[in-house]
Amino acid sequence: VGRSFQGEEKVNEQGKPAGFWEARTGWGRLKEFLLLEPLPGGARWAAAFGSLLLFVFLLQIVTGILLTLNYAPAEKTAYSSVKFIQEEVSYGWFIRSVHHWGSSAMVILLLFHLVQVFVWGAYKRPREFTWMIGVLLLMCTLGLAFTGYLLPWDQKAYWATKVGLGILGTVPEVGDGMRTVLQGGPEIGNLTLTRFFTLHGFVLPGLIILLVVVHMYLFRLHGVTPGWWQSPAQLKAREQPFWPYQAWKDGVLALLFLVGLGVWCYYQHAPLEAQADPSQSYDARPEWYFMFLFQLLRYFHGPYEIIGTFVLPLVFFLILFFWPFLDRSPHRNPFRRPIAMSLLVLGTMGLVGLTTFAIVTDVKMHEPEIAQKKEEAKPIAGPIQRLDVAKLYSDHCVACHGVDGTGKLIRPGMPTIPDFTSLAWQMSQTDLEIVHRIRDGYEPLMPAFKEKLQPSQHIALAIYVRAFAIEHVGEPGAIAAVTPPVTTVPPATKEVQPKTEVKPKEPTKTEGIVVATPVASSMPVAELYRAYCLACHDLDGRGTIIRKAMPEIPNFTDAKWQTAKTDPELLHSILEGKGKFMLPMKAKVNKDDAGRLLAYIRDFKEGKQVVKVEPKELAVPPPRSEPAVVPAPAPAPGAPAPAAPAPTTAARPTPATPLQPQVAEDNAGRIRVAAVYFKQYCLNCHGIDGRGTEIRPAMPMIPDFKQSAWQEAHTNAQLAASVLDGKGTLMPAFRGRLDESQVQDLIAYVRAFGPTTLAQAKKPPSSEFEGQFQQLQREWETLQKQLNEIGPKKDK
Amino acid sequence: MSLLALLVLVPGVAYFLGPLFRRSGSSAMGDSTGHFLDAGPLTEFAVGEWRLVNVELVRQNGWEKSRVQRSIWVNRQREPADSFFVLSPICPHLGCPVNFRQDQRRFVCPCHGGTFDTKGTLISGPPPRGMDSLQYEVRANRLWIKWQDFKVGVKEQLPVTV
Repeated sequence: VGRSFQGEEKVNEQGKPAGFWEARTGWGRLKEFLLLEPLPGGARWAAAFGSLLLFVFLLQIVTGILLTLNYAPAEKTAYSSVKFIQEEVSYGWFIRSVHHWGSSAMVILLLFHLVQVFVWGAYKRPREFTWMIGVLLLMCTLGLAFTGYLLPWDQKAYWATKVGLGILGTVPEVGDGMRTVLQGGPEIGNLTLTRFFTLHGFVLPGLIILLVVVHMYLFRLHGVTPGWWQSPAQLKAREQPFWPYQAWKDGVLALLFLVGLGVWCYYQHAPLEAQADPSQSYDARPEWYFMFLFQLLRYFHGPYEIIGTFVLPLVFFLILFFWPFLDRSPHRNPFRRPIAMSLLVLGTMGLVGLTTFAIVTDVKMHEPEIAQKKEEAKPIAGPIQRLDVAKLYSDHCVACHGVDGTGKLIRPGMPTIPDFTSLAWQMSQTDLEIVHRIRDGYEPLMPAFKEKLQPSQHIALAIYVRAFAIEHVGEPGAIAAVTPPVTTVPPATKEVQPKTEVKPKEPTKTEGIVVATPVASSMPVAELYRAYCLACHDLDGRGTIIRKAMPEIPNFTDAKWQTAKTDPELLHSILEGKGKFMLPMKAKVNKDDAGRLLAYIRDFKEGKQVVKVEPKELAVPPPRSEPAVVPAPAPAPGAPAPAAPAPTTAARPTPATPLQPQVAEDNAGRIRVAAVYFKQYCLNCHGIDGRGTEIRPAMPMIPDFKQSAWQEAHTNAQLAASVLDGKGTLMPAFRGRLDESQVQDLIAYVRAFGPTTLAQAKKPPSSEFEGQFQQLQREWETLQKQLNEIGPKKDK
Repeated sequence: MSLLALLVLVPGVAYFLGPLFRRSGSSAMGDSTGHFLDAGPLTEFAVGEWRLVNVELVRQNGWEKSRVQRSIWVNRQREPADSFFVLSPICPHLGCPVNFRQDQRRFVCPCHGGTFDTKGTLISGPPPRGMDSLQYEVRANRLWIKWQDFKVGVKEQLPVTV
C-alpha cells in the first residue's frame, strides 16, 4: 500500500527522500524553523535571559502541577494540605520551595528582562507589540504571584490578600464589584480560595502561554534585536544559527539557575505560618516584590489614598504599556536617549528605593522566623468563652484524648491514658489534680502546659474535661460508693463558664503544688524514649498508629525527614514543642537529655532501629519518695485549713471538720496518690473499675474487686503481701516500686471498689487503718458536697 | 458565529459574575449576622480598659456554613453607667487588624501606620475615617454586640451586607 504513495513522497532540501517521521509530520521543517533561526551577530549570553524566563515559567508549571496533586482549595483543607505537602509528602518541601522561590526568581528575571530590553532599545519600531505583550506578561505574572499567595491559607496569606483586595476595592465605580467577583462573595472564604485557585492554576497560566506564543511569534518575526554598536555588515559576518550556539548558552544559563535555585531551596524552605485566623491580629505584609506599593500606600492619606492604590499604579502601567509609542526617537544607543535613560534610572531607583526602605524600616521583616512561629501563651484579651476553651481543647488535647475525650485512638500506644467519659475516672480526680496535671504535666506522657497556656486556661480546660462525663451520668463507677453520685453535680459546674469562677484567685491555687521534678537524667536513653516519645512516635519511630489523629507526625525512618531537619531544629522541637501536637518537653528533660533523645531519634533512620518493649519497662520512671501529686497548701497556724481538692473552695471559708485539719489534708492527699499508683501499676490488668473484665479471658485467675466474696476472703495483710511480692504467675511484685505505706494506701483504694463500704461504716472500725479510711471517706464526701454547692452559684 | 459566541459567553460571564448578584438575601437562614452576640458578663469589663473580645458568627461560606471568629475592641465607660465603646478592629484603610498600644494610649494599624485615639477617632495616617463603632446592648447584665463589616478605603461608613 505504501508504494502507491511514492509519488507524493516528500523530499528534504538536499533532495533526498524524507524519512518515516519527516514524511508524516514534517518534523524536519519544524525543527529547522524552530532551531536553525539565523542570529545576526551570533549567539550572546545577553540574549539568554528571555529563554531563561521561559524556562522558569515551565518550571513553575511543572512544580505547580505537582503541588496540585496534594492540594485541596477550601478553608478547612487548604492549610492542612499545604502542611501535608510540606511535612509528609516525599520531597513535598522541596517542590513547594522551588515553586515558592521560583515565583520570586521569575519576578526578578522579568524585571531584569524588561530593563535589558529597555536599555537595548528593543521595543522600537517594528517591535512595539513585542514589548506590549511583554508588559501584559508582567501583569499576568504579578497576578499569578498575588493569587498564589493566598493558597497556603496561613496568616500571611490571609492578611496580605485581605489588604490586596482592599486596594482593589478602592478603584472608583467598579472596584467594589471587581473585589466581590474575585472574592466570590462579600468576604474572604471558601469561594475566594476556589476562585484564586482557578485563576492561579488555569486562567492566568493559560493566558500566559497564549501571550508567550504571541510574544515568541513576534520575536521570531522581527528577529533578535542586534546591538546598536554593530553595523549590518558586521552582523552578517558573525551570523550563527540558534542551534546549537545560542541553545547551548541558554541551556548553560538555565542549568546554572536551576542548580542555584535548588541549593537555595535546600537550605531555605518555603515558609508556612500559622493557619489563617481572622480574629487574630497580624502584621500583614505582602511578598517583597509588592513592598514598594505597600510603602507607597503609607504616603497617601484619606481621600488621596486612591492615588497610591489606583492612580499611580495605573499611570505607571499605561506609560509602561504605551512606552514604544511615547519614545519615538529612532536611536537605540542608550547614550543618545538621555530622557528615556534618566526615566529608567529614576523609575528603578524609585522602585528599588521604596522596596528597600520598606523592608529596612519594617520591624516585622526583622523578626527571626522562629520567633514568629513559636506559639506563646497569649494574654487572654477577653473573658474565656466556651468556644475558646473548645478551641483550646482541640488545639492542645484532641490529638491524644480524642474529640470525645475517651482517648481510645491512642490507647494502644498509651495504655494509661484516661477516659474522660468514665465516671470512675472523673470521680478519682479532684479538680485541683486535673488542673495540676494540665499545668505541670503528668509522668510519663502528659505534657506540661504551663508555658503554653495561662493559669485561667488550665482551669477552663479542667472544667471542659469534667464536662465529658455529663452524658455518662449514672454509670457505675469505682469510687461511686465512696463519694456522692455525680448526678448531684449540677451541669453548670461542668459547663465551661469559668468567667466568674476562675479568674481571680489562680496564683494562690498553683503555689501549693509540688512540681514534679524531672527524673529524666537518671534514665537510659531507650527508657527516655519509651517514657516520653513512644506513645505517639511508635516503637519503630514511624508514628503510624497516631497519624490518623495527628497528620503532621514525622516518620523518623524517613531519610528525607532526617536530612531535612537540622539538629538545632529538632532539639528546639523537643524542648519547646512544635506545631499543635509536639509538646514542649523542657519541663521533663534537660538539654543533655534532649541531645541523647535526638541521637536516638537519628538512629531510626531507614528503619535501622526498633525500640524493644518489655511490658514492665514500659511503665514509668521509678517512684519517688515524694508522691507526684501532693496538694499541700500549708495551713496557717490556727486558721482553718483550706479544703484542698476543689480549687474554688480554696478561698471560701470551710466548715470546720471534726478531724484535725492537718491529718485530713494528709489523708486526702494519700488517697489521691493511691489512685495515681493504681492507674500506673494496676489499671492495665485490673481495669479502671477494678473488675479485670477485659483481661479475664487471658487471665482467668484475676479477681473482681467488686465482689464482696473476694473482698471478705482477703485480709489487708494478704493483699499487701500480694502487692509487694506478687502472686501466682501473673501478678507482679511491686517491692522496690512501692513502699509499705503506699501499698497500704493502694489497698484502701482497692477496698473502695468493694460493695461493703456501707456495712463497714456501720461496724466499729476494726483497725486503726480502717478508722482512718472511713474518716477519709467522710472527708471526701464533705469536699464533694462543697464542690457541688459551688456549682449553681457560678451561674449567678 | 457571533451568535455561537454569545450563547457561550452570556451564561459563562453570568456564572463568573455570580457573586455580584447575590449580595443579600442568600444568607437568611441560620446566619448570626444582624443578631446581637453574647460578649460576656459586664463584670468582666473593667472601666476604662480596652479589651479584645472574641465573638463567634455563623456565616454562609460558599457551600457550607462556617463558624467564624471575630474579635472586637471593647471599653467600658464610667459615665453613663453600662455604656461602652465598641470598635471593630478592622482598619478602615485597607482592612488590617488594628492593635491598641498601651504605651501610646492609642490604636495603631500595623500595616500602613494609621493611628486612632481612645475613642477610635482618626489621629494620623492614611485611613479615610475613624474606626467603626459597633452596636451593642446590655441585656441581663451581659454585653451583647452586633458584628458588622464596613467597606474599607472610603470616607463614608458603608455597611457591607454579608
